[in-house]
Amino acid sequence: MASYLFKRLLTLLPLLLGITFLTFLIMQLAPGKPTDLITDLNAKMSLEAKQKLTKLYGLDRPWPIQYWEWLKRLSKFDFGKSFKDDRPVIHKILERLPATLLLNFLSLSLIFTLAILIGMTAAAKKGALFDKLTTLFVYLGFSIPTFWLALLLMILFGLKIGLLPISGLRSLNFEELNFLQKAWDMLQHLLLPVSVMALTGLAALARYTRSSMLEVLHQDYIRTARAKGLKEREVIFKHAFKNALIPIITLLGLMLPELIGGSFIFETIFAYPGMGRLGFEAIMSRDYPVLMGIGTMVAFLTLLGNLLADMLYALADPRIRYK
Amino acid sequence: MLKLYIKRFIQNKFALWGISFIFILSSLALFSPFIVPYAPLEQNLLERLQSPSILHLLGTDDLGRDLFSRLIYGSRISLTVGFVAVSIATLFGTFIGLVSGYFGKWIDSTLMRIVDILLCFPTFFLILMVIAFLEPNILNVMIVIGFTSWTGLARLVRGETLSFKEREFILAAKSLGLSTPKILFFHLLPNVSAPILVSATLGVGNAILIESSLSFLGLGVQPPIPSWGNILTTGKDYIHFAWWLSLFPGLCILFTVLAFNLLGEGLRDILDPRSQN
Amino acid sequence: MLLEIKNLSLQYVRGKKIISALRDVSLTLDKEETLGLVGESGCGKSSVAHSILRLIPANEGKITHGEIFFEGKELLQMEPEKIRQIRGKEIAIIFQDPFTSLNPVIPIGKQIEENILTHSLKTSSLQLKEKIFSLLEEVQLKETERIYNSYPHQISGGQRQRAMIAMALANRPKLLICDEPTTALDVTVQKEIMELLMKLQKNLKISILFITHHFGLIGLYTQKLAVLYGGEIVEEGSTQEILKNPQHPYTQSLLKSLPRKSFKKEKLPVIPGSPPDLSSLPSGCIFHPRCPKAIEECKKKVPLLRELKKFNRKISCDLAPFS
Repeated sequence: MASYLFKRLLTLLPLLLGITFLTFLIMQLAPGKPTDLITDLNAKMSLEAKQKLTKLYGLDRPWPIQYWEWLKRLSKFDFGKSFKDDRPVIHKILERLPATLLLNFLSLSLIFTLAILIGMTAAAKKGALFDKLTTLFVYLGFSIPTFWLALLLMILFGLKIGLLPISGLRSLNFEELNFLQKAWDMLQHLLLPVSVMALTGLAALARYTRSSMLEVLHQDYIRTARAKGLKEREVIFKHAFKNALIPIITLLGLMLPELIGGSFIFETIFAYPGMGRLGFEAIMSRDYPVLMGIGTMVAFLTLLGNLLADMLYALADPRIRYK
Repeated sequence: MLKLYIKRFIQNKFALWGISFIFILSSLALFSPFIVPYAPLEQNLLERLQSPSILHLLGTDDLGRDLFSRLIYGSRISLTVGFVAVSIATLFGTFIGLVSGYFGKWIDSTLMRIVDILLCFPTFFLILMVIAFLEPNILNVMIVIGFTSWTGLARLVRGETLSFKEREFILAAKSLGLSTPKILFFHLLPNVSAPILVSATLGVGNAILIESSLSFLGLGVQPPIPSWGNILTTGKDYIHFAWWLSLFPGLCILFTVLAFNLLGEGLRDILDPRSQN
Repeated sequence: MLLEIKNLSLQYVRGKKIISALRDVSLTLDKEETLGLVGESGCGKSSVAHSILRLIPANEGKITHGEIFFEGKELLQMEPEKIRQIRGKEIAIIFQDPFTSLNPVIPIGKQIEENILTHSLKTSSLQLKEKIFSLLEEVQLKETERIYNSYPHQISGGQRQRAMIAMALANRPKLLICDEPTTALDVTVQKEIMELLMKLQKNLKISILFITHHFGLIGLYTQKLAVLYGGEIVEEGSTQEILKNPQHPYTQSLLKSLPRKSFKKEKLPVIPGSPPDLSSLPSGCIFHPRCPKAIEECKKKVPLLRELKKFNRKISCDLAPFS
């Protein structure tokens, strides 16, 4: 187990370096270099901002030095100061990060639970009505523009029925509430964004669970389990599930970046005070230091998530744990 | 062989539904000037935010423009972005995948590490980041979507190439002294074309989804050019008064993407050498 | 009589094809008796085994008619819950490949424990563990503690099959079905496993239905023998007599193609021609396309399984007895 994780950690190192290089390359797209002609026509870029950028990233220096400087700053999580309010970027990110992690964690848990339930049931009842409905749901899930779905749900629950708050994470009177009321208030605010976010990954994972489960159900050990006289429930949820879980964990790790990517849309639509919305605002106001900071952060989070998935993978599969 | 595929295609309900819808939509897009009752940019402030009626089939927007006409024109944007972006991604992904799989060694490991690095970034966020540095317009949107969506295909083609490159017909081509590009594009490529076709078809749907999200956020196709995504932005602003502005563009996106997904999944079954009948 | 199979017919559905895997198969097995069921791969041997325990998935195959009596109770019409209580308790089964038949993510000890717990009232965990250890000792496994905690991939093929046997015998079944129990094993291990099985049969007084394509094993370990060809029984009787003087041309060919030393070489019998296509059966006698003794008549008339008094057996060849 330890040697397996160590190997995984080693493969992460070049990725880490690659991420820093890619963000560096994107930075080179930034307008403001002395040679850049187009930017003179770009009204959105003020002269002052240009100078700030040049100073911050040393854009007038040769690029190996630039990259070296960028690496040095990254190692200290120093992304400079926001153009907008001159606060250190890392502070701005850190105060928004917990909300985003909460949103992603809840959505991921919901996706995982529902997808497994749906996928397993569909596989166990292959060809039945439930299975067909699942297929339909999967196709719709792959095809629906999720921001539109968010919009529709806002109309339905927020405006027509008035059941749920449609923006933010807290009500205006949040400070006056007691602990339970506070939790309930946040839960209500979270319900719509979490559901919509969950839906984006649910279709993919449910379908994958179904096919992984169908494959497992054909294995000899499932026949053995039945031959032992186990109840069908035990056969499915104990013997089959434990095996079907292994590839699902891998996919979950791969889905993580897309999920975080989704935060940028959904946090914006639901005016949710997280890192995604901060990033979107940074894009709209061309607040490059904040944008670069968030970009690097997102990639780090993905790597961390992948490492976590690797650990879970080893936990689920004794063939990896005890080699 | 082709006959067999055509037969399977006709038997495949999914693929038939998908291709029919795409055919109709493409015709509408192609002939939109002859179909639309109003010019898509024609404002009529006297008829602002009209609900659907005989006069305006799907209602009007905040500037009194006919929604039906704008949606028809919007299909041009969606289809163009979809096809161009996927062409870029497919050409690029196929090339990288073939080269990576065929040459192996350090070329392979370098290219695949690059893919890994790109996969650390959420595609959508990567697009947002790059767009933030560029002028948001149709051309940039297509290019950026194209150059960020090739990774999956590259991995797929690489895997297929690996499984084919030691086969007799490739070894024979090599021993005949054929040039490497010839082997790659005339002997290997035809054998990996089925998964490429499937992935490209599914990719069009995905590109349309991304474009509409970008346009919705104001980072894609800019008004007054009508795109399904930016019409929805207006819909969001008038969410309390004009439900039709939120509903119909979304349905357009949903059905179009669904059609490409159905066709793609259908093609997967049809082209799968393991499927019988 | 412990087990009586009457006119069992089974069909598999593969796409538009209907494969008639078993046709009118009848067998009987007495208490403490060992019956061998022999034939080439694909002849339907395993289908018989799976039919007894009703392990054939409903969406793959269907028993079209026939009855199976176990201790006088009919199994095929039995409620699913009742048959579940018989599986692993009254009738147990050992499969061909112990590696694929054991669940890879559950420790061996747990897999045996499950079998005991399903069919008995609550036992204290200490007693349970002791029982499992004695079961492991019974199948002559050393290092019981290690095996108990191991996952299937951590032990050898022979150890796995012993564990399978321990699992099958955990509830002291009356009937043990061995479906090619040694085919996936090393030649040296094969003999050990067979001898273990025979010893256990004597000690525990169980009946065994022994399924194999290996004529050599049949002769050494069974009292009665049924030869299956293309889903039909072609010859049935006492093992020793059939081996000494085979009457059906198929049995004769099988015996001729047998290598001399049974344990030295595991080789599939070679008979000219290929087994019948069960989705489009030949006219007349099912064996006639490969039969060295076939005459014109054989192409038209379907031979019935009939008593051959003189040789004390049943046979489905109209030309027999051959002098």
